Amino acid sequence: MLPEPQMPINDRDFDQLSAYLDNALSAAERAALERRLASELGLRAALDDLRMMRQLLRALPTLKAPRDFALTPAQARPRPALITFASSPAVTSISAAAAVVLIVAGVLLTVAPSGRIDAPNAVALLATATVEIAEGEASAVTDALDQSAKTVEADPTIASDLAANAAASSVAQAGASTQIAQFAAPQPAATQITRPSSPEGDAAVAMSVPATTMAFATNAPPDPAILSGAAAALPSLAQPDMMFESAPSDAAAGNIASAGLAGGDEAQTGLFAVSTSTAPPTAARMAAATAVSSATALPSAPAEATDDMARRDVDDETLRAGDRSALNLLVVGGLLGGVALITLIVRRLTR
Amino acid sequence: MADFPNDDIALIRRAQRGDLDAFNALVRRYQDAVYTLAYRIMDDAHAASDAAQEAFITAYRQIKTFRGTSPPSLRTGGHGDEAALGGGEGAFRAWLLRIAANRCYDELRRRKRRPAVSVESLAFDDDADGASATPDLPDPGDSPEQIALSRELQRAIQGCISALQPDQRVVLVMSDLEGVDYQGIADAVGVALGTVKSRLSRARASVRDCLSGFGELLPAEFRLNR
Repeated sequence: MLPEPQMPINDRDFDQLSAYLDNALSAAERAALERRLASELGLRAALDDLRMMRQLLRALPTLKAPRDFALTPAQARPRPALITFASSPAVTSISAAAAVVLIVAGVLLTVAPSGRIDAPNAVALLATATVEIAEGEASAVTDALDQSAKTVEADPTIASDLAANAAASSVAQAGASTQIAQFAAPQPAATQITRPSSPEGDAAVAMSVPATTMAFATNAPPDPAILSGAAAALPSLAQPDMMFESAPSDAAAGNIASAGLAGGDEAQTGLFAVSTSTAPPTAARMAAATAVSSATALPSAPAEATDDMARRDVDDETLRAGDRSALNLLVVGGLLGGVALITLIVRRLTR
Repeated sequence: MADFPNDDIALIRRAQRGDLDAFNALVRRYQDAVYTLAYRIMDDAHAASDAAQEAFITAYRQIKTFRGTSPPSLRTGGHGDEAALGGGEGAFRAWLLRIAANRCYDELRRRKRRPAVSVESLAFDDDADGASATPDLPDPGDSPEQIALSRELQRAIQGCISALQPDQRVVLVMSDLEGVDYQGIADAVGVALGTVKSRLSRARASVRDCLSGFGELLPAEFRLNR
């Protein structure tokens, strides 16, 4: 019998041989390859080459370290906690993610014909974007939560103060305004603490919507009725300064909480809070929560102000409010982007 | 090595409590292995020293996270003496090598982004005689077959390794020189098992092709078929 010609093996066969050498094939793959090895000379030769080459590599000597790598006390000294925190990938990731979300929000509000009407869509889009970012950065975000949760645990009033102050200052202004509060809550239930201290005594209701509902909201047409309908389903709408807490969720999902404020006859106030969470299976910790509170409060209009002039004034005011909201979001987004950049630089310098 | 008790576990426990002397005893025990891995990957004595030092600093800072329960990361029958290592020793060596490989990988990626030639390293590597000044001298503890390779062949092999892409180089050195298994490599480099598998295959194919050009240097038993 003539010797079998040696055919060059293809990449796939070489991959199989390489894995075979490491005993990394499944039983079926291994059996199939061994059947081929028994009959294909070229394949056997290639396997022999691989074996010899690995032996050759393993025959390389261990090198003598050129010096003693024992650590000096200075080398063993831990880095300052602030540098460690600031140079952590989690801080960079969260800052970058928040910056993207806020800048997108700012752009959305900028291109919207009215800062009022497109808010639901903007919130839904934001939630989607934030969830996507959070999914990509899940591990980093979870790590950061430990730090953030400790901070908030140390002073649980930090987050509430941030949001409450933001809302209070926004409502205190004559026109509508938007404030952004970013915080990480240590509890599974993300409490959207945004209590407008409006002299009108508006009721604030926070409603938790599952991710699936949020997807619906994304596709929903921009209709203020969404808010009023959702708010109507909540019994305590009429109670001033009422606040619901969003329900705890075990799943990593985006929660969108929208709160409608019922003000004067013409006043239409929307307060939106978007948060994303990447909770561990036990939901022991709340994931990073980027809360975007957009409070759009119109000054109470007199009941008789129904003529066209008054409506135009209201519309102009709303438009200016939308501009300010977009500007605020862009500024805060830019600042957070700066934080991300700085942490990146710190990490590079402290490597 | 004989200066210290052959008891990694006790040293590790002491190091985890902040005992620097105990940790340095571990450093001296494993610094040759860590340096060798770094040198094979970096192909530069200075860079390898830096990587090894950084790896030990990182290891000291993270030693409290070491649990000593991951010996499968080293395959038996691999390079050197890992076959004889058991439990904590093997796990600690594998842990150190993963840290060092990760460090080298980061450095190679950084260099890829910002390619630059270090004058200092060139001066260090090539002395006036043209011979390498790199301290790639066999460890006295090596077995006879390990030092059987001529210095010329060692350089040829190292050249073939260095010609690989960084991601393939790290995988090849960890697998075929240090005997780290796929999972250990995946952990060190931060890629999926399938990626390790394919990178290793590509790397082996490249080195095989490269070595076939040094047929005259290869011992008879290592002559390749192609």
